[in-house]
Amino acid sequence: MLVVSRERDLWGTPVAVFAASNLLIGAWMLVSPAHWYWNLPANVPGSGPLNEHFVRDVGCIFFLLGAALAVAVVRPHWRVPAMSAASAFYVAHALVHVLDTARGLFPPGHWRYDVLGVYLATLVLVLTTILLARSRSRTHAGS
Amino acid sequence: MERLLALLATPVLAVLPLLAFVHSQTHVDPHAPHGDHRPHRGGDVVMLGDVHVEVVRTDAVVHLYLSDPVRRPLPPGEGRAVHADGSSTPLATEGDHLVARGRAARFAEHYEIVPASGAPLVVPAPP
Repeated sequence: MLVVSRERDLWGTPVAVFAASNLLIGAWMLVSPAHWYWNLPANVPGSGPLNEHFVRDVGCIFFLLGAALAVAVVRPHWRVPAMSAASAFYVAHALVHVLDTARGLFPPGHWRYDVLGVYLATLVLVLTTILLARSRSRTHAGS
Repeated sequence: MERLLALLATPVLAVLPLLAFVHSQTHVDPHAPHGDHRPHRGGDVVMLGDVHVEVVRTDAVVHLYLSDPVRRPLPPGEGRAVHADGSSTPLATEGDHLVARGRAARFAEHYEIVPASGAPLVVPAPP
């Protein structure tokens, strides 16, 4: 049951879009790991050989995050927990990139890709989650 | 203001799962050499930094082939098989690769390779 009015529901669309993109990537990884590996426009092979089992393992995370976010679209009280879980995952992923860059696993210059695609994008997610949490707090305080 | 922030966040959130996987040289041809992590000799390929190591087990012999990011063969350098008790056995060099035989092939826990140039590599022993 929707508990916020359409008028005040500013965060429904971003959460829905984020849910859809996570579900899409997760489903693709689960259904066809090799197709995902070769065709995702992100040069996945640049990170190493294909391991179908691990692709499916990671696909589970994306799919379940997407599912939780999808539920959060229609059940707004799920939004902060679902977005927090997603933020925690993406922050942990960013930290793995910091570690692997520091230990030289990535080729020189790779950090330039990470600044925009991993670090800044993750920061946007974290800020969005904080804004969403504040918005929810105001909604509860005002109700 | 909040409406604007929600609007700005939407496209970033849309592509965030994709951006999580972006690696250098955006979208190479999967058949181009850089995207080639397939075994060339029927073994298992591991990538350690920028070096590919193909590990091929045949009976009681393990062959280790080194290649660069675009799969050009690298000189083998030196290597040793390290066993669970901490002892080690040197690997032999045969042409373009390193070879482990006998105890070094059957009971190694991992292989330590010092390439002709670059950092030392630790390669798990094949089952």
